[in-house]
Amino acid sequence: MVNEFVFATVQYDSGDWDSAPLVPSNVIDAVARYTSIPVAPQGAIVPLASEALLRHPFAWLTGHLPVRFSDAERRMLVRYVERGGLLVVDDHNHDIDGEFHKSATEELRRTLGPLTELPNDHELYRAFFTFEDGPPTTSHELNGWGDNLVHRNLLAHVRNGRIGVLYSNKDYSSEWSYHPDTKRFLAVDNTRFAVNLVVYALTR
Amino acid sequence: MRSRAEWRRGAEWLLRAAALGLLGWCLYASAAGRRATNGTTLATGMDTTHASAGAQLASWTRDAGLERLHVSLAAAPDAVTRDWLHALDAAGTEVTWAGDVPALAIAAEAAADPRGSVRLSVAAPAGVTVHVADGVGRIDSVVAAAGGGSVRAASVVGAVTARADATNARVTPTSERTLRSVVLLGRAGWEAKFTAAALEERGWRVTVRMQVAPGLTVGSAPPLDTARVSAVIALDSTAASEAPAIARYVRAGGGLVLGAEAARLPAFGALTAGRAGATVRAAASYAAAVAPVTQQTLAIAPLRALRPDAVVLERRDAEVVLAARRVDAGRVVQLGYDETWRWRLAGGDDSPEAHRRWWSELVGSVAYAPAADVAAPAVTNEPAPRAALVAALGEAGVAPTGASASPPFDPSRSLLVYIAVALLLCTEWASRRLRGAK
Amino acid sequence: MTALERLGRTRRTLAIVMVLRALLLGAAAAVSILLVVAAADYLIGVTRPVREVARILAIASGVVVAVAALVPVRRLGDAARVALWIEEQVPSLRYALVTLAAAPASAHATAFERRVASVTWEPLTRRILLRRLAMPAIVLLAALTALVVLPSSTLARVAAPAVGDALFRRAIADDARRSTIETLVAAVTPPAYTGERRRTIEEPSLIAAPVGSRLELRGRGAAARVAADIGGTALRAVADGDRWVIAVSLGGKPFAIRLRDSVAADERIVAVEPRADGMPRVTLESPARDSVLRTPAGRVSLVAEAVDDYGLASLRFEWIVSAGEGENFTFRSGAAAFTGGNARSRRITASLALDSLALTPGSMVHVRAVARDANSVTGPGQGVSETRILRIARAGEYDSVAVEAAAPPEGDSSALSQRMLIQMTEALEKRRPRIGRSTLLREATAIARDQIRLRKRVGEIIFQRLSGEDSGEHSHEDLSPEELMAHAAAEGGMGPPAHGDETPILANNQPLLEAYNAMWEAQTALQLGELREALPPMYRALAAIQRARAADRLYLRGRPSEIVIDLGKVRLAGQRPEAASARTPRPAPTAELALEQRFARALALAARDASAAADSLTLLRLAVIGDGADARPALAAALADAASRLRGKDAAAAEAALRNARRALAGEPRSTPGLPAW
Repeated sequence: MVNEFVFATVQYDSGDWDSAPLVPSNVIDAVARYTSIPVAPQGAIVPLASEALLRHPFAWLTGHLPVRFSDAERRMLVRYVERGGLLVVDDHNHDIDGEFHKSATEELRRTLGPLTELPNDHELYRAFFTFEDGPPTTSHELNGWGDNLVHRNLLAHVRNGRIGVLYSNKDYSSEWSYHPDTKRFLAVDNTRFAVNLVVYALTR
Repeated sequence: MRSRAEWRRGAEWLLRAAALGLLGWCLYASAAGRRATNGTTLATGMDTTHASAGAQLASWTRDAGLERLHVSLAAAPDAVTRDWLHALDAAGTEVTWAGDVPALAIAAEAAADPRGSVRLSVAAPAGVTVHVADGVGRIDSVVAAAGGGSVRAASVVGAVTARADATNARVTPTSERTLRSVVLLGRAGWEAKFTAAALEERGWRVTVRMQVAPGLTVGSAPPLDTARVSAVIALDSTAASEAPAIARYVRAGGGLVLGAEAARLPAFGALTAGRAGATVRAAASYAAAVAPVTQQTLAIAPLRALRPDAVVLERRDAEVVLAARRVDAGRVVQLGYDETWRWRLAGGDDSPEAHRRWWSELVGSVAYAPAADVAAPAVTNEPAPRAALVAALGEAGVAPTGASASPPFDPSRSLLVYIAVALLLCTEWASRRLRGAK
Repeated sequence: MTALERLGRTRRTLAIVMVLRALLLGAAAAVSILLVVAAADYLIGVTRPVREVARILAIASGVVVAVAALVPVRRLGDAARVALWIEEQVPSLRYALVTLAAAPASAHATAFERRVASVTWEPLTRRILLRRLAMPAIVLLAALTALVVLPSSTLARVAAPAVGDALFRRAIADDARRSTIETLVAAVTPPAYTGERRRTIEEPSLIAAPVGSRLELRGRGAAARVAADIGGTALRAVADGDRWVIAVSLGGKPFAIRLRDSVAADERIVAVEPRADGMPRVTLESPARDSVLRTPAGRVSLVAEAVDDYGLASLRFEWIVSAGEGENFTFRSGAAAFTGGNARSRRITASLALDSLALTPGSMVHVRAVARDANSVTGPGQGVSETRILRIARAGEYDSVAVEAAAPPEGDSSALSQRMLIQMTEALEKRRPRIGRSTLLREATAIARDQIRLRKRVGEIIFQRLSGEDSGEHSHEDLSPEELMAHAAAEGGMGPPAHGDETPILANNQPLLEAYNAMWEAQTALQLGELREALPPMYRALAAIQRARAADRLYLRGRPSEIVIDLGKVRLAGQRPEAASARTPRPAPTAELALEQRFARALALAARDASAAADSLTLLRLAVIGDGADARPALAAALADAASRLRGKDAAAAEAALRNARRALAGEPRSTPGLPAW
């Protein structure tokens, strides 16, 4: 089926773009588990500099290492966001002093302009499930990983009233990088926020 | 045998006679006026604007004996000239006309478009180049084919003029339309999202209802009536629940854009322009995955078995991909395209704007959008000058029998004649003085 | 003195007089032309190009006249001719002098000498020559006198025409009611770092200058009559002699200065476009691409080039070394080269010794070049090159193993992290001088409560690890560190650790025990409101947690097997919410619509008042120019062209420019042959 949602992981030249290989299947599982949205059973890997990115209006970018976009990647990212794509960038280090955070935010600011704090009452947090306090905390924030801080807000580049780039220090890449079958052991599914991301992307 | 001096005197006499003859001809012509044989005046190449033809018209009007007037026109006269000729005709002078006046007409209609664009339709013979201009200057040109041509302009200032050869047609655009919201019904997905985005970015107010899960939707459909809704877009099968309300709304004058998946639903059977065929996609390949998407490469679900009253709007090769029809007071356009969002996302540099415009025009072509107000035009409209000419003076005729097609020569108004008279007299005087006579 | 010697002296006198006369004539010609132009400027005003031409013409005329007057000097080379001229003036010489000049060695030379000696011609010829000088001197003097009589500003305008001297024109009858903004001169002083010179612009309608420039608008007349504003904010005109001046500094945004003279009912608009200083453009030429190196040895050549629109302050290489794998990375960084200066382009080279970077297999070196410009107004702009990555190959980098990861432990959302507690304590310590003791105690106690909860959480983890059991069933929450150790060891079947004899399990958990201990200390100090005493153990606790973290983290190695979700199995298996939120519509394109409406009004104005339409288009240009996302440079250029053409005389060019602007704003009109069927 072609008219379906495909979870796209962005492959970029620098850094370790494939650091969270289980996130796509887990998000796909969550979308299918809670919604009737047609979804592809497997994710896709799309180079950031490729025109193929424009076939995927929702894309996920993560990593631990410094992020430096090439000119072609920068140009494509600008086109992508201008045309209505949503890129979710997650800091797999969960560390505001980390090189991923510093380099990725610098690259995003340089390419697209300022990143602003997304208010915690933004409709993203009510797009499907309701998250009263904004972005859900991750075990990695609470259990002492990374910078040992609970980040209260996500950052976003908003264009024409819509999020073009969502930047997270929460380390959802670690939080969601597990086999979906083990989800049954969780009292509360921690991938519910991923459903909000996808529903927001598909409906706003 | 006559001497040389006698020949010379004879020649001088002839010169004098010729000069007097020319003067006499001028006097006669002046007295007789420009009346030709059979009481008909021919005007060839008559000026077509009142400013330049005013004196001529006044002269004819003062000529009480003028029985017939035949004017040869290179272009349609302006309204004052035409009405003057019509008045002459009504006053007893039989006025006929001939000439290659192009059958030109123009209509300017404010489109149902939040950005206020104007549809300019021009009727002209095939092959004629029509220049369209407004109060600021030229807008565009179109070579007429199959009855004319059309121009879509973002805005116009003042009256719009279409010019073909020397004939002008002028019209003031109709006032702007009152637009109401557009209701979009579909499944949560890229097509619904980017269709809403395209329309909102163009300025439409869009109310969406997107199904996310059974019984769970983002947004809800408002009551459908023409007082609140200009058009409904039913993209897919999630619109089935609203089908009866949509049918009522369309028959009451509303507009409907029907996606291919929705058109396959029996609930919309009475509204469709044709049967939605199976979706045809380009073969998947790496080249196709990275090549820019155009409207021509979108997947299509061609329309089959068109209804007799359906109007084909777009074709791809032999396949119908867009068709429309009227259903009672309303209008329906049925889409044969699938996943138009790919055109916006993965198209060329101008594809987002093209996608926006295409969707806006599609919705505008069926939208219920009454004119905002009716204002009197600031200028005199002349939308169809040849038609008006025919209405005033009848069909083009031929020059009256016996009258020359060439303009009558009036020696009393010719400078050449007077120069010739002066030369003749000077020559005669020089000859006389040179031989010593006084 | 012989006759010929006397003749020679007269020849020299004649030569001097002729040269003087030529100079006087030349000067008189030049000054007369300047006088005519100055008088014309005083009476009716003369444009600067005409004055510039007149100045050149005056100099050229002076030279030509002087040279022409010098032509007869060559005749002085013929002594006989000079003698003849003297004979002409003094007939009593009776051709004796001429004869002597022509044939000095003749037989009658002595007689002629005597005759010549008897006649004195010098006073007479001197008088004649002085008369020759008198006329040009008088003319020159008169012209100079007339010039001096004219106003000095007029003289300056003619003698040295300059851009902006329209302000200094003095008319024979200055009209007091004349508009004070009729003549306008702008002087732009760019910031020093740009190296650009001060510019003067006459009759400006659009001024583009670097951000931070100082703009002075000057006009003639009383300052009190001039009302000026920028977007409604009034500007004050200051008197400067019989002129006025308004000074503004250029910020980052374009703006329009509206000038009004209420007495003359005159209004002008000057659009000002600040030109932003762009970031330096940096190219890393070497290494040209990313590389994988087998061994971390050798040197890597680094070459970078940077270009800036005004001047570069520095250009250097930066590198970051990342080492590690999985989720455990360490980072080091440094700068490898630096160059100062203020050139517009610069190229630097350096060599990076890989041996000195202590690289290990798997390490990566991220290299880039960073340039800063000399912008001292809005802060230095920084440009960076693309980053190249040099990676040291790992021995077994193609090995892989599939690990089926488990879901992470669920976090306790009620617990605050140690770093947040430190931040809160530090903030409270800062506020301490401004708050009362009771408030301090209340807030410190609250932090202490959180610290206790966190300590308990750490205690649970320690207990769990040492005993292998869940802590939920045990009441060890208020144990001291020593009690906790003993309790956990007892539960785990271990005896209490002997001093200095730690088991490996105990050693692994030592950092957490340290943290537990430090938290205990901290909570005690916090409960007493002794923040300074509480912070050191809190820092120790954080450091200990970080050490424990490094030992605890689960590492994934290799790529796990690809998972294909069985959609049929999981579809709608989860508990859905009852309703999803409504969708917020996208904002209407009001700015675009407003722009189109303003443009339509300007177009409608163009037919009636071209000058007003040009002003409107100039203001519209300010709205679309800039460096933000809404900037439309093509439209801005088209609007500027249209405004400029409308101010000109060529109606056809103005129409074409307006057409271009329309198309730049709303796109090309679309014409379709054939009448539409629908």
